[in-house]
Amino acid sequence: MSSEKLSPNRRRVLKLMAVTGASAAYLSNYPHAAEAQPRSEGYGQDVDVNNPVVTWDKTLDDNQLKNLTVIGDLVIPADDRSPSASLLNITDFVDEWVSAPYPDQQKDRDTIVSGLARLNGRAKENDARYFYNLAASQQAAMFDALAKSVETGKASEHDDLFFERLIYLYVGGYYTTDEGMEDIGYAGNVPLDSFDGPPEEIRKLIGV
Amino acid sequence: MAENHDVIVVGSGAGGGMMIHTLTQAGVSVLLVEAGREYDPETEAAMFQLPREAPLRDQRTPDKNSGFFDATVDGGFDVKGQPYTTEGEGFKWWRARQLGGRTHHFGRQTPRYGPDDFKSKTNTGRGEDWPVSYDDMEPYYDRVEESMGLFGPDPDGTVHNSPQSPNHIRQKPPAPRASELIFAKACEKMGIKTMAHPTAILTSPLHGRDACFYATNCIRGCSIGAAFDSVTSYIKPAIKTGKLTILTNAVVYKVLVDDAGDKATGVRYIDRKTGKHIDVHARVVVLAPAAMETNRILLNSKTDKAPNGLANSSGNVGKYLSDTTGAGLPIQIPALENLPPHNEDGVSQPHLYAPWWLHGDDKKKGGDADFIGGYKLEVSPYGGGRFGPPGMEDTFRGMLMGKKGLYGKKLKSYMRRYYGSTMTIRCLGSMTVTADNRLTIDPVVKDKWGIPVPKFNWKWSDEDFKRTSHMYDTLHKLAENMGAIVLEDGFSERRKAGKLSGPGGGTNHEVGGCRMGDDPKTSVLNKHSQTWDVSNLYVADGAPFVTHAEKNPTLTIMALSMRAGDNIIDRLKNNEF
Repeated sequence: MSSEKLSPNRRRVLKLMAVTGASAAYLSNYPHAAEAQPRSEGYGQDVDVNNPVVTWDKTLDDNQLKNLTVIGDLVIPADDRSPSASLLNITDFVDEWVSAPYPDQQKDRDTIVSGLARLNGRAKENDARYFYNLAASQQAAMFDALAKSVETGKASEHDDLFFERLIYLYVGGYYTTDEGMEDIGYAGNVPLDSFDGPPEEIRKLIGV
Repeated sequence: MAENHDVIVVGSGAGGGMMIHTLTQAGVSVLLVEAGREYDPETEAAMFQLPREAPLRDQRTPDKNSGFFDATVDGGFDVKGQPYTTEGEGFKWWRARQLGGRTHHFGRQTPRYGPDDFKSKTNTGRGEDWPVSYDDMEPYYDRVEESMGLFGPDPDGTVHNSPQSPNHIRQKPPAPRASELIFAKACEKMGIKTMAHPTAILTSPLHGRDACFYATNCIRGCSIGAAFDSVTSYIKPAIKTGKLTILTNAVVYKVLVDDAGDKATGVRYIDRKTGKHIDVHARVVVLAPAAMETNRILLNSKTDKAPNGLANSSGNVGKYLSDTTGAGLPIQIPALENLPPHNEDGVSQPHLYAPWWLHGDDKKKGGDADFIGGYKLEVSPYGGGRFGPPGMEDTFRGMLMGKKGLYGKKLKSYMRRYYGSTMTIRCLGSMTVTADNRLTIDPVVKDKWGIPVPKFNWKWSDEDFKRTSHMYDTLHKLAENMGAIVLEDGFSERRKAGKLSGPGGGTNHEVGGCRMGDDPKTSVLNKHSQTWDVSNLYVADGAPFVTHAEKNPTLTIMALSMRAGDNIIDRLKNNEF
């Protein structure tokens, strides 16, 4: 659309877009309370939607984060079209999620933390202290065995849920980034002068 | 407060806003008493922010039930310090504490009630007739739509009992999305007519408001005024008249009456900031704090003359509550796999729908449509597709359904192939109104200010079950005709278990409790929404509803409010208060 056509309000909104785009960096650099008690408050029912703030501290420990980083890249590896989960810091998002003081997220915390502990347990059988200490091929094999057991219905209820929530969180975290949205082909969130329906090319493909 | 006002209006949502607009444009002075804080979507609404910019990727939480960016302030189904209790099948009570009330978190779907909807008793022998007919309401629908603005279908092409806005008022609708073209084709095969859904969103500028730019979810509020809300369309113009005084953070809990108990003299509220209890007075009191709150205030306003609550000589205050019934089916459409990127955001609401299509003999021909009322059909804008930026719950939960063990490179190719092809088709239906569904005052529980809270009794009727069951059958047939795969179908089991609906109030369409009527023995309000017992006390939210059609209630709330406003203006002129 040409900018001459924009009304003052639309111009204001486009300006807003530029500003909010810049604010996206906030997630990676909100302050950590190092020594103090971790903050564990929700954001409340009257938030400033234009200045989002995560009001709780992340709580996963170093070993849990290292395990998740390995797992995240097994779930979403790099390929020729898009980067791996770790390149987009998705584990950081998973930490934010499982540290949130809300019941669903706390439930996910139990699921993820206990699942990681079970993986460490299996790693010990291979003489590694933590899952991330295993050789890459062992990590891949162990994770694949978990996936296969889930796929074939042979996994324990705990492992089944662990795997499901892992995938949900990594998929949700990854495909909501710019790179993830581009990968699956989301093409909206831009102002249009009119909405004319799918282009002819699409109509032909779907037969309407 | 030293100032004298003609009218106190409690609440500034769809009903209160419309009332304020009607009165102030006629030169009547109004004191608005609003429980929430100041709110202006022009400066506050989140536009274009992506889920990744919000905590938890904008996921719904107990603090913000529709996600971080949702417009709702101090609201949702659970508000801290403001509880309620339930019996029976449960109830969920959505609230908002902000200027403009629930018109910011609003799907903007604004269908008119049809002629049959006001004549339930005459046409079916069940329920009650309203004291107003479609002919009484039509000029008010026109006027409300003119002030609110909407797009809609060609009114000449509509079906029985779904009247549409006339051509000189309605604006041109946006074109259907790819998935909606598939939906329309399937409906056509099933003999069901589809058309644009009447929706309070501008596609051309109106009253200084901009046209929609087809991005950003309307429930975040609209900073350019394209999606209707009460602040932009009614409160701001009312301020310009110089006739409106606004009190915010003022939680009304009691209507004050004179010694004889026949006249309302004002209301009592709690100042949320100071905790003080304050009285304000006017010649007329209009309650529009949302239907359930109106019932609560009346039942909490006991006097010697009205020991069971004010305006309750019929004993019916709090009774005959209703919501809409609904059903949704998550599906995957193979025809939509692997499509080149294309923008399907649109207005963030359905562009097409099928109004209820079985009437009279057709209903019998339909075979199993053995219930009163009906439902509409549409593709949900919240269940996936390419509708808006992909979100955790809306997009990915559906895409991952049943994909056990999927990860790695296979997961990535799966995401590329299937993105945009999963969505939810849904129905919204009428509800059979019975006295089983009611609000009383909980004898024990109080809110944080010590005000007794509502207790909801809820029970879906057998007829609601039959209607909802029919919805699922239709959704399955529709899915088949769309060439779609059903992703999750707990329906058969739930049908066997006899439970198809969640708690009441779940669709945010809860109305009733102060029904209108021609008989003071059986109704709370007359045909002007004036209480039978207290002549200068009116109700202008959803509480006056008598029956509940398969249509979203907001437009009818506003039309009734405007009609009540006209009545107040006439009576003020004649010194009748």
